[in-house]
Amino acid sequence: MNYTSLLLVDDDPDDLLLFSEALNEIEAHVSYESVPDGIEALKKLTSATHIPQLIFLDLNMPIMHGFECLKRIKANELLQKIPIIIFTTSSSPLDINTAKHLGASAYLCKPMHFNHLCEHLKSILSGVVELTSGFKIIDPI
Amino acid sequence: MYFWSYPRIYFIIMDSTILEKKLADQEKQLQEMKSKLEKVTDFIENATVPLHWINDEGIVTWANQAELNLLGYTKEEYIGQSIIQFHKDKKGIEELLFRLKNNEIVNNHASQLITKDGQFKDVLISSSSLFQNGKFIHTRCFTRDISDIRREEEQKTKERQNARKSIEESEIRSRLAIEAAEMGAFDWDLSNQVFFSSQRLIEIFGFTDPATSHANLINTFHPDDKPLRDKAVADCLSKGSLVYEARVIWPDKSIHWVRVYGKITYDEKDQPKRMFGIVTDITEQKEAELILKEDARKIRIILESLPQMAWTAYPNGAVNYFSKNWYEYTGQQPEEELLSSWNAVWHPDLTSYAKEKWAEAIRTGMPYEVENLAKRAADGIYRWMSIKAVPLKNAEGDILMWAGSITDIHEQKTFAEKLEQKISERTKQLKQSQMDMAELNNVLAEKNFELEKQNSELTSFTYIASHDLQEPIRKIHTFSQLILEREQDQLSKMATDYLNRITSASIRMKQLVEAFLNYSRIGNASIILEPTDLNVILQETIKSLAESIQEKQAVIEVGELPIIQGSSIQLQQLFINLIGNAIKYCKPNVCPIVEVQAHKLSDKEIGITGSEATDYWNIRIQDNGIGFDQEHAAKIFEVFQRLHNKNEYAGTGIGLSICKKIVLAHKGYITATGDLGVGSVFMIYFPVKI
Repeated sequence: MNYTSLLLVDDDPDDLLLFSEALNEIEAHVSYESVPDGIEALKKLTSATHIPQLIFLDLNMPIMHGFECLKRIKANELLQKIPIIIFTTSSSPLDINTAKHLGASAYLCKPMHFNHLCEHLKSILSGVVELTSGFKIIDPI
Repeated sequence: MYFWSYPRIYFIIMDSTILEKKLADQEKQLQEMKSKLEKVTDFIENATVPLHWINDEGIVTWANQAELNLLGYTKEEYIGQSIIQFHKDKKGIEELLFRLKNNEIVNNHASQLITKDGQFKDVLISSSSLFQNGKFIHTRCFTRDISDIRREEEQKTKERQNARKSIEESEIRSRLAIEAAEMGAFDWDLSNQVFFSSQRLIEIFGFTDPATSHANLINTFHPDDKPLRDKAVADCLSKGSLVYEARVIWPDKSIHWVRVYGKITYDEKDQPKRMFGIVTDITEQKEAELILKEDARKIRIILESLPQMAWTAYPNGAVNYFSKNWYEYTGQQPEEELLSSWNAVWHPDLTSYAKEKWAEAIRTGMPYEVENLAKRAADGIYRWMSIKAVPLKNAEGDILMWAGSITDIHEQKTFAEKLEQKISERTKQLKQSQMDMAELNNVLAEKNFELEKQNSELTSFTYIASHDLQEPIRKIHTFSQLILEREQDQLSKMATDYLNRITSASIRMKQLVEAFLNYSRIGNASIILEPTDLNVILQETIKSLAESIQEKQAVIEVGELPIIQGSSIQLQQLFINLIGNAIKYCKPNVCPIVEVQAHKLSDKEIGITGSEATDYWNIRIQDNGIGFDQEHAAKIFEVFQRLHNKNEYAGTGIGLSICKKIVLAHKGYITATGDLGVGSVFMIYFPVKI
């Protein structure tokens, strides 16, 4: 399916910039919002009139760790169904496992190359990467 | 009643006063006589002596109250009745009456009266008869109740009979006792020297003839003992009794011991009259005594010769002898009373216990053994002694005496004490060093824990550091890339070049950090060991290295590999590194050939000591690459140690360190052998059982 609205939960301004740059690069027609931490994310999610179709969730964030946020989102009946992609630097198998265990839909390591990021976003947003059936580790290119 | 006639009146013309006076006198006399008569009558009637009259027909004509009381009859029942019916012996009374009628006086004729309630009363009748004008009027009877006296007499007779009987009985008993004890008895009349002896006595003296004379008996006394006997007899006369023991020589020349007891009886003048006595044959006892004395003597000789102090005691526990050594040690005087001598020597603290034990030994007849402290006279020091005693018994099991010893055990005891002390000291020391050991162990464990903590901190630090380093690296790279891409046209050559350098540097840094991350990961979590098929691992490895295999046209030959306990992820990493190296470090223009073989070897064959496993899987990876100088064989496994610069061959310098770490984590070993210009061989050893 085509995702048209996104939420990015990441505290790193550089990563936020790169993300929007990538979106521009691939000419994705999506509305996207970003919040710098889990608390803000939950606030937005629970109060927004408009719920995003897809969430990109960083792990190493201040105040609330990404996994805590993931847990809480998944605990919320209204938000449970939103596919969440863990978007992080960490390639630790432990983190990958935890993400899977906590109900994330996919795991994407932040790539070294900018165009790799573009490629990944393209395939995700166009629905090439199946996000609703089981857990996917998005392969590095 | 006497009537007297009134005297003839010849004073008719007398003075009336004189007549009156005479009348009065006569009246007075009459009164007096009446009064006297009354008194006499009362006396007789109420006398306590039974009196009665009996007429010639034997009828009671009068009886006083006492008579009635004696028999219990009323006047009517008694008076007017024939006297005969009141006597038991009727014939006797008839006779009596006859005699009385003939004016005989009866004095104290014994008879038995029948009382009203049918009892017989012993009485004595005294009676005299009254005659008037030659005619029998009545008898005057006076009865004396002698029933009490009779009773007393009967009582006395009975007592006398009883006394006689008991004397007879005790005589019989004594005789029996003497006979039973096989004692001989004698009875010696001292006045006429007549000597009676029982048959048994005769036999005790060795004779059989009952008629053996006193003299003969005396002659049997042993000449040595005769004086003793004579003296005893002589003394007896003054003392009243005798007892002596002496030997007698029988006719058959055998010697026997006798014990003689004698007792004197005296006559009215307190002179010795008779001697009664018994004689016992005590030969057996005497001989036993002598044996005992002899034994005791022999025992004492032995005891005197012992180095210990020795003592003996009677069966009742009283000490009766100490050996010379006792007197020497204790400083006691031989003349001192034995018991006080004993008591003075022992230490008061243990003595009551020792006394208890001694009493027990006496009671039970069991050997006696205690330890006590005895004061030595020479220096006043108390020394430890072992006191022992054993009972000496006869054939019947009776204790004849106790023989005891006192052994100086001071050295042993103090030695034993010192030893015990030393032992307890050593034990204490040992305990102390054990505690110290435990302490040290604790310290060690603590240090260990700290080290582990540090290590894990370090590892996680490393991990976190690597992880966090990746962030900026990525950014450097990405943004540099973006500039290069987007500002291509605007950039000078130099700028482009510099940006490229920045990019490649960041890539290199990423690789290093990734490698480092890998390395740290291996130490971090405890790996789960599962049966892992190395054949599968190798196939995966080849797949992963497909690109470079293709590029270098490498040939990987893999033999039959075992299944080992391990972590597939790490083993994967291991073989990727090793085989990747083998391909990477190939000789230029020579296709790399990599051989992977497996063999089972014992620890002895390998030369491994002190390991838990005995058998190992040896995986041998041989290549035909550039090899290396064996000198560096150990170095290459160290972190960041490279034998080539990065221009020659790319690499982080961590790969082999990772390999080593993985192998170690699997409790195995890895070695490398290099032959410069020929190739390298990497040997991995995995234990067959972990």
